[in-house]
Amino acid sequence: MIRIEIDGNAVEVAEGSTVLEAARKLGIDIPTLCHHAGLTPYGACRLCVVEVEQRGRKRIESSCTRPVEPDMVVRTDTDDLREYRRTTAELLVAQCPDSKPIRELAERLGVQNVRFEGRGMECILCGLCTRACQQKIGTPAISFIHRGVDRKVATPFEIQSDVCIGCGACARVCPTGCIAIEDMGNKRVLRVFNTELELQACSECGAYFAPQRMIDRLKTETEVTEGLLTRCPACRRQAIGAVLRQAMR
Amino acid sequence: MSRLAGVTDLDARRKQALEAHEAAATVIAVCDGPGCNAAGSAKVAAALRRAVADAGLEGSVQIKTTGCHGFCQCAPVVVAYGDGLFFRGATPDQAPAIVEAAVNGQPIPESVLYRHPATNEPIALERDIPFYAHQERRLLKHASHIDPLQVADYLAVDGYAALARALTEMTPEAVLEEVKQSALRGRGGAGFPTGMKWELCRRAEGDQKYVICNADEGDPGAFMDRALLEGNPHSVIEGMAIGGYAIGASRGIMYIRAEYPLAVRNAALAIEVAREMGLLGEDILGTGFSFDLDIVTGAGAFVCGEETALIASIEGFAGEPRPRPPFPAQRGLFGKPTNINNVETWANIPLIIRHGAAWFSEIGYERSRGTKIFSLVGEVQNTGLVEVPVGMTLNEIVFEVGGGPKPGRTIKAVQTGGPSGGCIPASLFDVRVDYESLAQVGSIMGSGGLIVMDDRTCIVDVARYYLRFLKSESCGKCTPCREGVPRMLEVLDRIASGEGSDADIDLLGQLGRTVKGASLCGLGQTAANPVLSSIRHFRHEFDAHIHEKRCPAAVCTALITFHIDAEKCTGCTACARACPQQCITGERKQPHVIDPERCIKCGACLDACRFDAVVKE
Amino acid sequence: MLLRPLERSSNEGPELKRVYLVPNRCLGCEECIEACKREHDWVACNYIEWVNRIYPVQMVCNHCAEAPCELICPAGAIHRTETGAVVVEDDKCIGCTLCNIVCPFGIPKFSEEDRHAIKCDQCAERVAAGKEPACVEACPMKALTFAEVEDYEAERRERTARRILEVGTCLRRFVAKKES
Ligand SMILES: Cc1cc2nc3c(=O)[nH]c(=O)nc-3n(C[C@H](O)[C@H](O)[C@H](O)COP(=O)(O)O)c2cc1C
Ligand code: SF4
Ligand code: SF4
Ligand code: SF4
Ligand code: SF4
Ligand code: FES
Repeated sequence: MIRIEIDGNAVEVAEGSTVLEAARKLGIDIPTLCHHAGLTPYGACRLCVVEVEQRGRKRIESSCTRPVEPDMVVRTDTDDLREYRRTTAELLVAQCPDSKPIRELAERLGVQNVRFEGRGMECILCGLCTRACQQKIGTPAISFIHRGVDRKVATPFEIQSDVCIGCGACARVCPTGCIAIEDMGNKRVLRVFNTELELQACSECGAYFAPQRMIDRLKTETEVTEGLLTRCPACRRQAIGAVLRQAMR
Repeated sequence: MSRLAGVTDLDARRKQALEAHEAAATVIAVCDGPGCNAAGSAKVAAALRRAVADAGLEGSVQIKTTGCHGFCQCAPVVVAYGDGLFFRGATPDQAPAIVEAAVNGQPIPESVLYRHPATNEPIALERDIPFYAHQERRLLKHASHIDPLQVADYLAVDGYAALARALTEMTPEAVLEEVKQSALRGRGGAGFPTGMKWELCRRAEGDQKYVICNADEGDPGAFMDRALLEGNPHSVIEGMAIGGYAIGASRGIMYIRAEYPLAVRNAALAIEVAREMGLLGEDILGTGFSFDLDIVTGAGAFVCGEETALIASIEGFAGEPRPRPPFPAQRGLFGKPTNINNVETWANIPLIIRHGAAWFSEIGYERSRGTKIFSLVGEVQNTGLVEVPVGMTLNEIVFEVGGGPKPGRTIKAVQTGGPSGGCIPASLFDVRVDYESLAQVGSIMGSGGLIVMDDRTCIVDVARYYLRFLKSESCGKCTPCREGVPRMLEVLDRIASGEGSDADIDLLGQLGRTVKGASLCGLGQTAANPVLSSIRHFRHEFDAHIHEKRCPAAVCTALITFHIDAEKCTGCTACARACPQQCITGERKQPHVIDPERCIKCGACLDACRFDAVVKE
Repeated sequence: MLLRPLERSSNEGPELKRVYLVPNRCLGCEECIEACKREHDWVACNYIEWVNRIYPVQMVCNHCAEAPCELICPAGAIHRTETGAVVVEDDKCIGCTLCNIVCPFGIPKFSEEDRHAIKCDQCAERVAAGKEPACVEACPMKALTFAEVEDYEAERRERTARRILEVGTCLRRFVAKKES
């Protein structure tokens, strides 16, 4: 366990924890956008910046990436930090003027008006989707392309991905909700990534329940019983229910 | 090239090299640095070789193509050693005359003779030229004397003696101590004490450690590292091997930007030769120490010079910075302890080990010791690569080495530290160029860019230039830098077009503070410096743009007008003929007039007028 | 490839209590589902399956010994608690729905609104407080028991024995009838 001080309160957390985790343990609210508890820290949005003092030296660091160290003194709410967060939030609203979650966050951080012309983007480039896809799903289906203001998330060459399994993790971790996943008949469509996938029909009821590529990956990369994978969850419950009923008689 | 079994072999080879060297009475060095190469130095060298052959002097005169001599403005540069006769702007047809002058000691043909720009006085010897006279060329000296592709040349100037000394006479701790004692600080920008950095990496736990040479050099206009790698690659290799020994690293990587093909080639050939000679690889000089080097070429993004982005790039990921800690010394390349130093830092190491820490640190100022190479460019008489003691004042660098302003102009500022630095006004030129003093005036040492600006340079325009550069080089990972830098540029553009307001200055300050304070990596953390420092020192120029709608240096297009001074105009019609808009009217022999409505401010009339009648304001 | 092959088990805890269905008592009244909703922010984690359209079978998570959902979860969002329940940590879930696809019983759901997987956590808070899971408590027919497997087996043996006894009595009556 490591003991640190945050805003005057002492807290003990396990070695390897981040300052953000320690602060949350104390109930201190630090805004975050590119952080997700299930993904590796990235440090891109810079909303979670805090002041870390060690051996008399103060540094501004992102709390989501900063591992705790003994005798650290952290401040989460100085005037400077408030200005950084407010300006950063204003820049984000200017980047994605139509995003409701971003506007709400900015308001909460004290942004009253935005002094820049909108860039009309929907994505704030937090990298949650790319991390989920690359690091967790293990498909390099999407990644950042281009530099600086031209940066965006896309499939290679921005064409139909041949590795996306259509799991939808990208869409569900996205803080702005800008990745829409639509199921239409036997197709799953990820419009922003120019990608369309066939859905698997249930061998019992014929309902489309999961992308075929996802099922195929499960078949080749795991030991899940094959017969199971072609049956939708509802039909699995039915089948097991029948077995139970049988056993109960 | 046969393998050297030990130090005795090395010494024997050095002796051989020295003998061959002494056999030639005269060595004519033809600079093959980037500037001279572009000016045709290869043809000059070939012509010189022919001239030597024609004169039957092969025995006593040697022609060498060397690395950069620094005085690029005199390209192609040729110097004849022994005495050091200096020939500027050499051409192939002058070759026989140059050879003759080199052998007889004089006279230098007028067309290749250097003349003092102010006094017009001829100067024959390299060391008498003010540009060189005020320098302290410790690192660059050899680069302009030796052929980078001939290891014998490097051996003849005591090359690899430091490595031999370290491996046979010193423990790794002693090497580390020597570097610490020397007070050498990183030449890549931040000036972190090199010995301390090595020690952190040496102490870190890890079965494998790496040393990396950062040759990404992305600052616009800078070419210090390039000159060293092209001109004396063995010195960098030697430095890295010594570093590997002190740190406990058996592998090294040179990360060289792909835009430097000659540096890549020379470094690769030098590594190959060093390996063949057993100066790299297993069991170096029979001491049991093993160390090998590889080259990785970078895609040439400025941000790849940042340590964590550089590591990511070597690992095959996108060259994007990662948060620190963990620092590379703890977890760097492939998760192993890694020490990264700049080319120039590495090149200093053999000198320190050979001559001792005391020798190294005898020059310098306070906590900054040794010499530093700068690329001096912009509006001064003498431009090029200069090496001076750290802590020389800006005045000395600009006026003595640089020779002061161009005729009729006044110097108003110098930008140090490239896009991460700041501009320093002429009123502060007695500031010393060392890490701490520069920080005090709101700039940084950086990697060694020095851009001189005179009264025709607009500060707002310069700030815009750097922000445009940074905008296109920001990797885009973190919000303040990606979004903040372009917004700062927007505000500056507004000011430059005469539509700015006082609120814009506040806005720049607020954006600047956030970009500086909250960005993830050094690029963003320093990106606001050029703007913030120019507001600090040149607020009046901003005010002129904002309140008077006037660009004092007459640079910002939206705020300038062209008109013709009727007193001076002779009615020669030259301007009218040059104007692409045909908006200049007037009778022959009568004063002409520019129609301001149609004028596109291209400046063609200004260039065309021989009577200075066209006025730009 | 990052999909983890199903290879290791996290079930090394003590003998643990589970929810068991007592045969033929379930009426399909869905009180258990309502109770589950009340307990879990208005999303139920249990189901009533109508076998052959007429026989209701209540289904909850098995908290399998080698739980496929836990093993497949790439975000490490599913783990086993000290009381043996296999639970989802909402804030770690990245929403890949793999748990949903690999569960042999079709138990995990996915909430598009909350953006995380939802599955039976065996009312972790109630159990920790010494109570029974909400569904067990709510069932008016006492069709659900919360018990360790040994105890449940014993109970089940007893029930079966009683049934055999009942069947035996029937048989005897039948035989007696025939004989008379
Ligand atoms: C955006 C950015 C670009 C950089 N580019 C270079 C570079 O081109 N060459 C270099 O040596 N250091 C560069 N640095 C500094 C390095 O990160 C690092 O500090 C340096 O290589 C360490 O070597 P030193 O201690 O010898 O100076 C850069 C830093 C930043 C933030
Ligand atoms: S839906 Fe496709 S792009 Fe999105 S996370 Fe899954 S595999 Fe990656
Ligand atoms: S699409 Fe969403 S999750 Fe992906 S980078 Fe953009 S904002 Fe983040
Ligand atoms: S400061 Fe700029 S270059 Fe550095 S990580 Fe952020 S966006 Fe990239
Ligand atoms: S949906 Fe959530 S809980 Fe289920 S496997 Fe994916 S990340 Fe894990
Ligand atoms: S949440 Fe920490 S930088 Fe985005």
